[in-house]
Amino acid sequence: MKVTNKFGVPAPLVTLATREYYSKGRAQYSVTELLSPPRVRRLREQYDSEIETDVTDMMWSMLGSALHVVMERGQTEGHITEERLFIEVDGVTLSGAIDLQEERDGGVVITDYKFTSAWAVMNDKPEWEQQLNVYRWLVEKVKGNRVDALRICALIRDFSRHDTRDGYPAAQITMVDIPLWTLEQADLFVRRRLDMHREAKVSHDLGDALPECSAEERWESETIYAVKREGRKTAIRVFKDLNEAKELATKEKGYVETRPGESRRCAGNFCSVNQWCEQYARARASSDPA
Amino acid sequence: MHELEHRLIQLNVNDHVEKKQGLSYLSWAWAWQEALRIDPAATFNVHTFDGKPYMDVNGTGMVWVSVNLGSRARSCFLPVMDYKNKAITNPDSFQVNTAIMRCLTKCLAMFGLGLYIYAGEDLPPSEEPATKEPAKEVQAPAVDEQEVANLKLFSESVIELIAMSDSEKDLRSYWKANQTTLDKLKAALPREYANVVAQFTNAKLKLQEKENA
Repeated sequence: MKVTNKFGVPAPLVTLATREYYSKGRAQYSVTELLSPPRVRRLREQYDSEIETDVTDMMWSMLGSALHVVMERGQTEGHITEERLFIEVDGVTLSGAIDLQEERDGGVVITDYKFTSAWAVMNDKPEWEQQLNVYRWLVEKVKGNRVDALRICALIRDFSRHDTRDGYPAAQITMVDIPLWTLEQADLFVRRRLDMHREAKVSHDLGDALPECSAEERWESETIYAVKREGRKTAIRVFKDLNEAKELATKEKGYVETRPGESRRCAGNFCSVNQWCEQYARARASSDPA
Repeated sequence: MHELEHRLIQLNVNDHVEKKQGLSYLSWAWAWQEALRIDPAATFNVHTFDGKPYMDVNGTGMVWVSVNLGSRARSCFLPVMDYKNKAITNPDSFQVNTAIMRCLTKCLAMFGLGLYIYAGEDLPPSEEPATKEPAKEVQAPAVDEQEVANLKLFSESVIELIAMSDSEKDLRSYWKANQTTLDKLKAALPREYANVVAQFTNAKLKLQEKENA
């Protein structure tokens, strides 16, 4: 990946952004890669030398790296920080770096630090659940330690003391409990994900079409229908169901405005590879007005 | 020497130099970026002559640019030239624009930025070639002879097995099961790997035809 400096930020920041803090070592897949869409993983590998990211778009990832470096200095008895574990599954080596393992009552509590938004803490994040349960599976399989709890230590970027909404985090650093899967569930999940990635690699190596990203993986927002009335700027009400919208529009003597859903991950290039993605090109071509 | 000139004259600009017709040109965008880095209030002015951005010299054009940088002002001139560096008669707007931006770079050289290029030097005065870091060589990972022999044997046996496969599914599952070794083959013996891929692709197409028939 090429790191650009379009806004002339100081050179040491560019150096920091360019440096790789994480190495998956001898592993073929890291847990993060395992959880990423197989199509994205393959395209990133293929176009790695052409992907450009500006240093100004890497602020939070740099702060995340900085946090991990600082955490290593906070060594505390009974706590293992930044441990990378390796395991071989079906001939493939997988690795995962665990931020914190706390020994408690003969078991282990796993914690992962995340710079995140208040919205993320207030809503379900299935990827957190997946990531931490794979870490738990790694700890139990590799070290033979019993894991009793999983937690996210959320460092909330946009925290506001004045926000009193129901469910809004009480403090800028908030602990989020993550449900534990059974070991069998986690084992099945890891093997399925690994198989998806291996199948994608076969397709890539042999020049076949890559598997497509699902709507969930594309962060696709739903198409919604806004009931509007002439002379009024805002919608009277917004519906997910077109018929319900039409019904209200008739009653209110208004009209229905369709707001098409969007693949936010692709459109915002959060995958970094949208310019090489045929799936995205096709989606754009079909949504562009002729 | 003034501190500003001292700083600019020592700056190595080699990564931003383009060669055309045997001459070196410094990117104007990069040069101006450096000027703004040093003095965010820097400005430049293109002189006009009877409403035209160039001075008429016997039918050819001469552009003039002034730069204000760090409380100093300097001016410079440059003929509007073609790709052979000959003055052009009746220049068009594109040629004038090119000359203006080159003149801006030249004017910045008057402050010291990339001045050594105009003097025909390869490095700024403070840098001696002997201190330059040797370029790092990128080498293929070392693979021992036994490993190479094993990989060759592997590629031969893979090709034999391809011929024995009777469905596309079999082929893919064989590839998947041997991915790690195939990756090693790709890294150590790219030609053999390419041959294996070609054999797989051919076999796959034949099996697809057969399955569709």
